[in-house]
Amino acid sequence: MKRLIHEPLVHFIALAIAIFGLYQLVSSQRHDADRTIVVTQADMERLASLYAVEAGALPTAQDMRAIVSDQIQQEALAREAERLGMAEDDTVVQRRLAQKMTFMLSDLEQIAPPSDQVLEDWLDQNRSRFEEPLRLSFDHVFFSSDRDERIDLAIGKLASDTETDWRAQGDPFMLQRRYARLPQREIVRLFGSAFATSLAALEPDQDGAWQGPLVSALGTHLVRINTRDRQRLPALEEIRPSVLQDWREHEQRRQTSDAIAAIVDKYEIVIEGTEDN
Amino acid sequence: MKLVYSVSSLALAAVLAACGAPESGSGDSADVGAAANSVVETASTDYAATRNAYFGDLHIHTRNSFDAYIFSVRRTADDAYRFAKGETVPHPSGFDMTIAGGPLDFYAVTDHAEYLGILPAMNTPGTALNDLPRAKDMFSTDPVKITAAFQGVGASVRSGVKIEEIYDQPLMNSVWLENIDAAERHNEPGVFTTFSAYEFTSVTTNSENGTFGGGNLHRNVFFRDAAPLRAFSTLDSPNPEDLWDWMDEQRDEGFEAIAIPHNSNVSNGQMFKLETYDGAPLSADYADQRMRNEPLVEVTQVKGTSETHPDLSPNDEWADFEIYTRLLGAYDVSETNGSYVREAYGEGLKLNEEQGFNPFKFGLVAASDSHVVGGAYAENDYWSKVGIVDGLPFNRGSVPVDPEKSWEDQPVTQQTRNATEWFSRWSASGLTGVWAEENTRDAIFDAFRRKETFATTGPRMKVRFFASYDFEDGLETDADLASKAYANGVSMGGDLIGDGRTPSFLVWAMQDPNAAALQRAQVVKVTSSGEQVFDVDCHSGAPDPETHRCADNGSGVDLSTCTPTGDGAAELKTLWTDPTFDAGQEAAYYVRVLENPTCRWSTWEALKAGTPPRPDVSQTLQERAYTSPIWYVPGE
Repeated sequence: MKRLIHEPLVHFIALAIAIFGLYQLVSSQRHDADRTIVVTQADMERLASLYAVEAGALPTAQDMRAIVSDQIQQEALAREAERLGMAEDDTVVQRRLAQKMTFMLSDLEQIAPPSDQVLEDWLDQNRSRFEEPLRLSFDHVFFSSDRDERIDLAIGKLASDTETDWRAQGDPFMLQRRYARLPQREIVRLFGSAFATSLAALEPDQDGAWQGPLVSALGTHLVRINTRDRQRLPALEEIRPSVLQDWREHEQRRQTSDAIAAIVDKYEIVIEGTEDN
Repeated sequence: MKLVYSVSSLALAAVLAACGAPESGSGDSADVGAAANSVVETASTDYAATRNAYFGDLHIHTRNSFDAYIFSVRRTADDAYRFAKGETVPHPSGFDMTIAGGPLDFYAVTDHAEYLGILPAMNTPGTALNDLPRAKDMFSTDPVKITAAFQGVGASVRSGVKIEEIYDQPLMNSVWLENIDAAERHNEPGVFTTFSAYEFTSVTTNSENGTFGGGNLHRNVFFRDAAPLRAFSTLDSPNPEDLWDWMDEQRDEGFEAIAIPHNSNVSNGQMFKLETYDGAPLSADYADQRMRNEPLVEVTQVKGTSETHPDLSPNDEWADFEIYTRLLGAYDVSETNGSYVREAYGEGLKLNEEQGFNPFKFGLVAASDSHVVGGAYAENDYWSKVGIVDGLPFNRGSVPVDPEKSWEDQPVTQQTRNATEWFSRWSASGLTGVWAEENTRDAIFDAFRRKETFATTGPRMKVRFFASYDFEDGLETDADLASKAYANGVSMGGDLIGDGRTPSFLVWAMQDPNAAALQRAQVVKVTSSGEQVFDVDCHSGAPDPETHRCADNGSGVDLSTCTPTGDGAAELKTLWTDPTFDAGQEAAYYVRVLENPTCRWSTWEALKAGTPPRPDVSQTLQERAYTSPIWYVPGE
C-alpha cells in the first residue's frame, strides 16, 4: 500500500477517482438535494392535518392532489429564489419567497403592445365574451290557459283591426305587457327557455305583426316584436379598450404561469408512496 | 396508487362562527364623514308604474370577513358582484360556482365590520400586523396555535373587547372604503343595483353554563346611496340599540340606512324578546326606533328558516321546514320562544293592544349568507356556506365519509358530528324579491322602506298581495288588474285601516318559469290571540271551505332520478275574504306560496354520488315564498 502511494499512475487514477467522485458527489447532491423535490409521507400527513385544521374535515384524494401540487410549486419557486440567494430555508420564508418569485415573474414579463392583428384574432377567438346579444322589444297578450277560446278570437281581432286595444286582450299578466330591448338571457329568466327560443326563432320579416300563439312555462302568449337588435360582434375599433384589457390580463396570466411551469420543469418530482401517474 | 391519511380530525367547532358578547364599548362617531361616491343615475329602460319584481341577495361575505378568510376564501367584493352578474367564480374547494337561474338584479357585500380586512393584512408579508406573534401563530403550521389565535379574534367579536394590537381602525376604514368603491363600480342603474353594506356581528353569551353558544343578534346594515367613512361594529358596542342610535345620527348626516336582522331562529329567544337588550321594559320610543331602523327581517337563509317552528305552530302542516336550531359554533339548541317571525308578529299585535306600540311590524326578505362570495340557491347545485369547511358533499354529510360504507357505520369524528348537527341541516336559500318601478338604488330602497318585499327559499317565483274594500268581483281577470289593485288597494307591507266593511285580499302568485310549478297559495293570519293558515288557491281547484285545505294535487318526486311527477299551476290567483274577519281586531296577513315537491340538495348530492341519501333529513322539500304582511288596523 505504502508503495502504491508513490506510483504516479496511481496518483493520477486516485486523482481522477477523487475528481470523478467529487463530481459524482456534487452532481448527486444537486440531483438529490437541489433538483429533486421529495414529498414524504410525513410531509403529506402534515399537509393533510393543516388542511383538516382549517377545514374541520379530512382532505379527499382530489383535495390532496391539489395540496401536494401547490406544495411542489411552492417548493420549486422557493428553491429558485434561494438559488438567487434570496434567503435561507424556512417554511414562512419559503412561502414568502415563492410569493415574491411569482410577483417577480409577473413583473419581469413585460408585455409588448400587441399588434392590431393579435387583437383582431383575440376578439375573434373570444367572440362569446364580446358579442352583443340579440335583444328583442316586444308586446305580448297572455292567456293563462292554452285551451282558452279567446285565443283564436284575439288572433282574428288583432290581425283584422289595427285599432284593437291589444292591452285589453287576454288575461292580466303579473309583470309587463311590453318589454324593451330584452337580451335573450333576460327573456329566459322571465318566461323560461322554451318561450325564449320560440320568440328568437320568429322571422324578422314578420316584425310588427302579431304572431303566435307561443307557449311558455307560464301560459300562452300572442306576441309582436317591435324592434330587434341583432346579435353581433362589434368591430375592434368600437371596443378596442376592453379587448386590449382582456388580452393583457390573459397574456399576463399566461406568461406568469408559463414561467412558473418552466421553473417547476427544471426539477424532478418524487412523491413517496405513489406510482407514476 | 393508494394514498392513506391517518390524521385525526380537529375541533374547529368553536371557531366556526362569528360571535360576540355584550360588553359596552364607545361609539365614537366623531370621525365619521361623508363618502360621496354616488354615481349619476340615468333613466332606465325598465320603468313600470305597476312595478317589476326584482330579485337579489343582501347578505354576502368575501375574504375581508375574518371568518371567511380562515375558511380559505380569497375572493373579493369585485368577484362577488361578478358572480351575481352571471360570471363564473371559483370556490375555495376547487370547483366553479355559477349562479343558478341567471343573473340577479341587486346584490350587496356584507362583510363583518369587526376586524374588517385585518386577517388578510395579518397574512401579508411586509405589514406591521404580519410581524405580530399573533399573526405568526394564526398563519403558522401548528394547528393548536392557529386555532387559539383564531378563537381569540372570535371571542373579541363576541365580547366587544378590542384586541388593541390588531384593532387597526385606519386599515379597517380603508377596507370599508374599498367595499364601498366596489359597490359603486358595479352599480349600473337600470341593470344591476348594489348597496354599500356590512354586517354588525352581535351575539349574546351563555357564560353561565360555560358553553360557547349564544343568541345570534346579527344585523346587516345597508346604505341607500352614500355611506359614512366607517362602520359601527360590536367593537364599538355589541348592543343593537347602540347601532340604531348610530344609524339615527348617520341619517341626520344624510346617510340613510336600514338594518336587517337575520337568523332569529338561532337567537336563543333574544331577537324578539319582550324587553330591551339590557332587560328594561319595551316602550313606544323603542318600537319607533326599531321600526325606523329595522323595517325588514331575513326569514330564510342557509342557516335555516325563521318563519315559525312546529312547537309554535302545531296546526301548520308546513311549519317543519328547514328548521335549524343550533347556536352559532355550538351544539346547544336555541330557545324557541322569541326566535321566530310569526310569533313576533303576534306579540307585536299584543303589545299594540295592551300598550299602544308595536316593535315587530316588519316585512320579510331572504338571503344566502354565503361566505364564498356567491350564494347557493339551487337544490341541484349546492355548495353551502363556509368555504373549504363544508365545500364538498362529504364535508357537509350528504354522502357518507367513505362512499363504500353505508350510513350505519359512519365514523364518529368531529367532522361527522359537525355535518350531523350543522351542515346537513343547512339550506339552499334564499332570495329577496322587491316590487319596484325600476332597477335603481332609489326605487329598490324605497321598496325596502315600504316593505313591498317577499322572500323565497331560492326559486324566483313572484307574488303580489293587495287588500281593499273596493275590489270588485271579476277583478282578477281584469286586463288592468295590477294598476287597479294599486289604485284601489294596499300592497304588501302596508296598513289597511278599518272602516267597518270586510276587506278582500288579492293573492297572486306566478311560478319561476325555470323551476317547479306551484301547488298552493296560502294566507297566514296572525292576531294577538293566535294564528291560522288558510289555503286560498290550489292547483287542485278551490280549497275545502270547512278545512281551508287544498285537495292533494298528486304531485311528487321520483327519488331514483329526482324528477318531479304530476302537474302544478303556473299561476295561482284569487280574491279571498277572511271567513273569521273581526273588524274590531288588529291582524297581520301574509301570503305563503308552496311549490310542488322537489329533491332537497342532500338528496341530489347522494344521487350524483351514487350513495343512499342521508337518512335523518328530509329527502324532498317544498320551496316557498313568503310575502311581507298587510296589517289590518281597526278604524277609530
